Amino acid sequence: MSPASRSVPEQGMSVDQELVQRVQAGDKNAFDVLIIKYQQRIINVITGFVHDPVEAQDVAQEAFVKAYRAIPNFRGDSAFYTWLYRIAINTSKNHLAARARRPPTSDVDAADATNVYDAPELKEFETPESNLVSDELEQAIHQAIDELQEDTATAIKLREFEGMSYEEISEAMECPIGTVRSRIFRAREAIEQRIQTVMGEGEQP
Amino acid sequence: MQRLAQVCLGFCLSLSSAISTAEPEAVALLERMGTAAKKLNYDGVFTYQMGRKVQAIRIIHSANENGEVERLLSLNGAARELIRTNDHVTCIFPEGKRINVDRRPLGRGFPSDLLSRMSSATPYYAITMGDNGRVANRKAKQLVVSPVDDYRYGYHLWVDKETDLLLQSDLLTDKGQVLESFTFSSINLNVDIPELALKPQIEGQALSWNRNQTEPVSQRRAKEKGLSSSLWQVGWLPEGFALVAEQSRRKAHNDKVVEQRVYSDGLSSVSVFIEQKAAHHHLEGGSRMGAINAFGVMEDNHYITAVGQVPGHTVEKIVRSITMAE
Amino acid sequence: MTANEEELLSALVDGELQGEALDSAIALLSTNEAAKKRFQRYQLTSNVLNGHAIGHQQQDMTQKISAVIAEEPAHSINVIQTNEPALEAPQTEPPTAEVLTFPERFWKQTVGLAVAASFGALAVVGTMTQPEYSVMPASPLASLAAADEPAQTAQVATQMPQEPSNRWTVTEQEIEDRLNVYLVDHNEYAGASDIFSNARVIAYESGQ
Repeated sequence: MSPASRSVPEQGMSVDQELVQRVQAGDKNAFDVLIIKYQQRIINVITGFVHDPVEAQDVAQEAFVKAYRAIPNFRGDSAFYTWLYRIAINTSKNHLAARARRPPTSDVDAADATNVYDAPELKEFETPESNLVSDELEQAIHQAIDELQEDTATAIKLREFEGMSYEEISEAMECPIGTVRSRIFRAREAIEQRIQTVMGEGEQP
Repeated sequence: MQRLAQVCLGFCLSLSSAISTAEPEAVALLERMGTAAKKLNYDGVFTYQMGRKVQAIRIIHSANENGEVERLLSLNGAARELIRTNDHVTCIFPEGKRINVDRRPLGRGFPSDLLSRMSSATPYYAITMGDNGRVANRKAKQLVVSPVDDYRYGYHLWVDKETDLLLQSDLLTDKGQVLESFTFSSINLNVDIPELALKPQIEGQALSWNRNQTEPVSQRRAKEKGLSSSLWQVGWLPEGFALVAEQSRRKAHNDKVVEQRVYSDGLSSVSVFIEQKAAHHHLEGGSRMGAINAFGVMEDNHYITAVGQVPGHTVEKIVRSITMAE
Repeated sequence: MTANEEELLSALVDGELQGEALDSAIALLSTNEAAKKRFQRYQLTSNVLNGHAIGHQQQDMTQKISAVIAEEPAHSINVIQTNEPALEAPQTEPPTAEVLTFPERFWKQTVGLAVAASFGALAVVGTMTQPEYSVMPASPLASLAAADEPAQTAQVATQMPQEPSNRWTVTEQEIEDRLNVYLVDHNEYAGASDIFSNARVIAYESGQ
């Protein structure tokens, strides 16, 4: 690959770093991007501690707000997600501790009133219905990928399964970075078409 | 090893470099051994033995001014071939079998890498000359590689007296039990290798890859990829072990990200794997497979496992020292 | 929303935007509700492919969080809020050698077949099969001086079965499979610098 085709500058600051800097400079919209990017994963983490899905979401929101408040102190020693992850864990533990201190009511299961992580099987909290939807969605996505043209499929697979950057993919596939970007976009468009029929208009988030 | 003896040994080692842990003659032999594997032509059969399993493998190696070509083929069990030309490795599996050992680079082949690893590991291993013996009907000299503590394994190596080629390598516990062994049963040295002998004979799926000339990745970039690399701290490692590699990888498309950290003293290595708990069963406690030991715990919604070619109590101690940073 | 704008959002999911392009994307998301929804869908797909989606509970929290944050004072890059505890990185680990992080650019493969083989589920090396013939490790060094220890009679003091086994000593297939996956990953580094490393590739056999 000729250097001229590289669009990524040498120092390669990550997009998370850039977003954090914008938030630190006062751009609250940039924080929205970080929320959208990480909310699902943070909820997953918190669900391990706080089993009820609605409660977990509350805790997740609390964690994000805490992160926003503390972001001026984020120095970039670790990855943003790492930092956010620790906030989520701490928020979860504090939440459990606070819940344990509340006087028990008849609604509270005694077993829940513990701040020790209890390692539930996650399956317990996946209702059959939500499982079904998730499987259907997953299948649709994989089917869509199977039907893609080879180059397009390769590009999205290298990106999502192998976590390669556009630059790495362009080297592996021996094509310009712009081509990588548009192939991945095409793949996402095709997937989008397919899942729209699965999910139906009304279910879009 | 007795605590007292260990302390004394450690004291002696650090006291003076005149009390060398590596006899010059032994180190010189090690160096020549490394070169021999690269530069000689040979055609032989060796067995790889771990536990009760014995695998017979034929190796054909040719070297000239352009570099090396090496072909390995399995002689029992499933037919399988591997061909290495300088930096390019191709592995061929029989048709229809979805065996994917790995399409990532597997290393520098035969023993040529041992020396560079030994030089960094020397403080933690004593390298001395052993007795004479015979392997594959050839005279051989023994090299003894002894670790300074019982957190790692040692080796007995037998080197061909005439050509300095490595003929046998045994991995040993401190009590002398052989856990793994590579042994030539027959070998022809300094022969002409016809080109045909280096061409693959079986048909099957071929996987090819180039060996990695890894570029150091900028630390920031590395942290982006290592999701929770600063979340977990390893509290204890055997002396001389340092972090030498790390990666995060997504497993099967349904699974979570697994973080791997590789620690090594240059010769022995242990990988620590950390992944978020999913609705699965996982190793809790110890397990072993031949020379390889594993130990796992669950902590803070994560599975933490260490795997390596080190004694069981080593992986256990490492895993038990891992905590989440607050 | 134009196709260009959609492609911008796709690149944002991959973190491949910076500078002005990133500014454009942020602005687009904040002003265009359809763009925001599209971005979330792309992110959902990515989450599913990466195994992050447990159940279809993809709720968007940006509304609620933004509402709270809107009440907060805007940050300014020159101000460090001292009342919030600094979240420091933890103590450093033992001294590191040159740290390699992989995978990076590392492979050129024969197109098609090899590429197809590497995607999807990581095919495990597989458990070692029962040997076709079993041989007690015999020392070929029959003429060796007696100073050598009797290599095979000593036993390793662990709670495990004392003969070295050729399978993991666990009772569940799932655990065994995962350990084999770990072992493949470990050998990628450790096997790389071991003696006879290529021989191990040959020696492992599929349990299928």
